[in-house]
Order: sequence, then structure tokens, then C-alpha cells
Amino acid sequence: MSKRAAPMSEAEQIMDKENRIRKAILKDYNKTQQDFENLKEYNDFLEEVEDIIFNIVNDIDVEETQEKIREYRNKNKMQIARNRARKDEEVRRKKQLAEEEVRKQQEAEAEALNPTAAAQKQNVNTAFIPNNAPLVFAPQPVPKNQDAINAFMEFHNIKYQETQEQMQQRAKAGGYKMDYPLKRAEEEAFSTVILLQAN
Amino acid sequence: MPFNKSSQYKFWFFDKEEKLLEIRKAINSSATDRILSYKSASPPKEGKKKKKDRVKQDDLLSVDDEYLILIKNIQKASLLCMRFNFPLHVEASAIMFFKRFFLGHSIMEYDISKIMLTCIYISCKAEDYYQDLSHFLAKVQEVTTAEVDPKEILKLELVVLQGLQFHMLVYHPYRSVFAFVHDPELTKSLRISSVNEIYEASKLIVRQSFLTDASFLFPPGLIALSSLHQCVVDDSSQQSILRYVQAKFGHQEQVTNSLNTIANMLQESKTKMGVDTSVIEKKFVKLRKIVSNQQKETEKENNKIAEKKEQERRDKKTEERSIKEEQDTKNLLG
Repeated sequence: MSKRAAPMSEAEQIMDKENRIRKAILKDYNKTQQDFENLKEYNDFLEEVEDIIFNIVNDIDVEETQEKIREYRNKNKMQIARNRARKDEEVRRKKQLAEEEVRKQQEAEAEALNPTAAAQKQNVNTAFIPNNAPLVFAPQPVPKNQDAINAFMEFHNIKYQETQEQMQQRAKAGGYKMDYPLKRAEEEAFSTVILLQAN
Repeated sequence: MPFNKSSQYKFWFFDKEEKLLEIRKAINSSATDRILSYKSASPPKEGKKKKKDRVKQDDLLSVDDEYLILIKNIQKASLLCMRFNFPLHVEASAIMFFKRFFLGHSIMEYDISKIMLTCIYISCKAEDYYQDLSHFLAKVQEVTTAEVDPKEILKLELVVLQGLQFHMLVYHPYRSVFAFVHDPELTKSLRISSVNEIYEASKLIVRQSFLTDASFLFPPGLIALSSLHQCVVDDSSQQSILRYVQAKFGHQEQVTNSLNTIANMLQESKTKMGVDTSVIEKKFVKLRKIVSNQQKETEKENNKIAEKKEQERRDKKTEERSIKEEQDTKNLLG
């Protein structure tokens, strides 16, 4: 839970409480529509869950509802575990699909920017394109973590070199110029050798 | 802010060395008066108590003795900061705070080693190099095997800050040295193998200058120039420095005089450091025991008086309240 700048108002506190309780209960009551034969039974299940949550949030019949939850948990252990596994699978599959899509899109962009391919499309003489090299602004492969970056650099014997200009640009973005220390030192030095007596 | 508008120039800068000596004499005499005139409120018991309280004129320190002990402690502080690898300006600020505090107070009336640690602690805070107090004292204990309670340092912190009149910003010559060393007009005429060498050497000389009173008498740019002047060994380079000064600042004579004065002060301080202070230190330790007992007793008495006053005030208030109640009941009941 990230820290908030201001304390929560009453409404927010109640909402927060409900969200927490909801999360905890839905871990156990995790049946999906597939587990029921018809829509009515599914809706009844959902209503039951909402009742339980309402009771606990508003401190109504807390003991009874807790008993209920315990009973349900004991009876349906297998079901709960199975449903959890199914949900994890789905999440993983979705993630994979999303990653594949991103990759495909990047490849497509690289293709589009490739001058030879583009030129051939337009029937231009490719001999005039220098070196047939890819243009500078082609997207580089995006490494996913620092380990991959380090391994890549080590393998190809690349050391991260920053030119003086790049360093200055970075400092300027932060509101600092590299000649501030020297200027400050000069000002202090040259103004404190001879002190003119002020009256 | 420019140096002429800083608190260092307005409050901690003096024209002549004699002024400093006057101030120190005044502080010393007032302290001795206070110590000699101490009379304990409780009647003296026979035998032991008499020895503790009485101080003779011989037991007191003179101005020169005080100065020697001060320099010894400045050296200790400098060594401590070097041992912990504190940056140069932290060490310099600590020493300046220390010197300034004991320009307005006598060392006979304060625990000098604790004040030294407090000055280092305050300077770490003031120069953006904060050290946690308990960690710092643990490190100190490793090096000097002296166990210090953090509470005492915290008590002294406000005392020291008041003594400094809360003037925390101190200008040091280090920045000016940096500027002069990076000025090619100066360095190309000097016969030196590398600029780095002269930079390091002049920083050492600046550090030595903290053992003198130069920082009270000369502005930091001048001290920086003098340190460069003393680094360069051969005559022609020294001449070229003076020519540079003339070209940039004019007033060559005045500056040369100041440079020579600072060089002399450094030489004097070297001789003073060689003086054997063991006798003075023993005297000082004895005196400090007596004076600290005196101070504790006065504190106890003051606390008692304050408590009595508080009690009287409370009794008065309860009386007033009871009178008021009586009157109120009378009014109600007619």
C-alpha cells in the first residue's frame, strides 16, 4: 500500500475496508459461470457472495457468516484449488499473446523503415542508397531487464561511453551546468583578495 | 552571497591581531574572576570539601596556556576528521566553529573535548554531510577509546550554537585555491610539473593555516594566494605569482605584506606546536575537575531555587482558586 499524502476520508476508509474484505473472500469463492448448469444458479452464487461481503463489512452476524465461510472452504477445497490454477493459466496465456503482438508490431515497423524494401516498393534504384545500411532511427531491440543489457554489452565488449556533450545535456536537463563549480570558486577567489572597506 | 555581506565578515573578522589578543584576555580575566569568587552555599565540611572548592591563582591558566591547549585540540579534531575521511570543508568548518566558540568563552569553563565533538557534529550538519550521532560516537570510541554519551553532546549543541551566534556559514580558502589553480594565467608561468601537485600541496598548507588566527584576520582568497605562494619553492615562480596579483588586483604592496604576514604566522604556529604542553595539560585537568564540580553545585542550587519558586507559585494559585470558590458560593447563596 503506497503512502498517501493526506489521511483517508471516512468514505474512502469504508471503501478501502470493503475492497480488502472482498479480495480475501473472492480468493475462496472463485467459481465461474462454467461451474454452474444455468444462469440462475450462477446468479444465486453471486448473490450469496455479496451477502457475505455485506455482512462482514457492516458487522452484521459476523460469527454466522464466518462459520459459513469455513464450511464452504472445507467442503470445496478441490474446487477452489482447481479454479485458482485455471485462472493463473488464463492470465499467463494472455500475457504471452500480448508480448507476441508487441514483437510482431516492432518487426513490422523495422521492415517498413528498411530503405531497400521501401525503395523496391517504389521502384527506386537501390544503388544510390549508401551502404544499404539501416537508417539510424530504426528501433533498437528493447531489452527487458538490466541483466540482459549487461550480458549483451559484455558479450560484444561494449563499454558505455558518454561523450562530454551528452553529459552536459543531461546535467542541463537537471538544471546544472558543468562550469558552475568553477565559476563559483572564481567568484569567491577574486572577490576576497582585496576587501574594500565599506563605510 | 558576497563575502562583504556575510556574517563572517561582519562579526568574525578583525583588522589587527592585537584585537584578538584583547578579546582573549578579557574572556580569560572574567573566567578567572568567576572561578576565584566561587563560594559554595553549603557550609564547608572539615577536611576534604575545602580542597575541592578552593582554587588558587597559580592553578588558573593564562591566556597563552589557553591558546596552546586550544591548538592541541584543533590538531586532535583535524586528525579525527582525517581518520574518518570527512571532506575538507567539513573539517574546516568544525575547526572554525571551535575557534569561534572559544573566542567568546574560556576553555576553563567548558569540557573542551566534548565541545570539539559537538563542533564536528554541527559542521557535518551544516556542510551537508550528516552523521548519525550514535554512529559517529561509536566510531570515535573505536579510535580514542573515550566513551561519550550522545545526550551530553545534544545538550552542548545548543550551547555551542548560541556561542556561535548561530552563524553557520563559513568561507574557506579551499574554493579559492581551486579557482586560482584552474587559472591558466597563473599556472603557466610557474615552474611546476603538474597543476595537481600544487593543488594538493596548497590544500595541505591551508589546513595548517587553521592552527593560526589567519582566518580571523585575512579573507579566504588571500589565504589561498599565500598557500600557493608558499608551495612554490623557487624565487622566479614566487615573483610570477606577485606579478599575477598585480595584473589582476593591483595593490601589490598590500597583498605582498599580507602574504608575508601569513607565512610568518604559519612559521610561528609550527614552533608553538613543538612546545611541550604536558605540565599545562595536567594543570588544566586538575582545574577542570574543580570547576566542573563548582558548576554542578551551582546548577543544583539554581534548580532548588527554581523549584521553590514553582512551589510558591502553585501554592499561591491554589489559594487564589479557593478564595474565588468561596466568593462564588457566597454569591450564589446570596
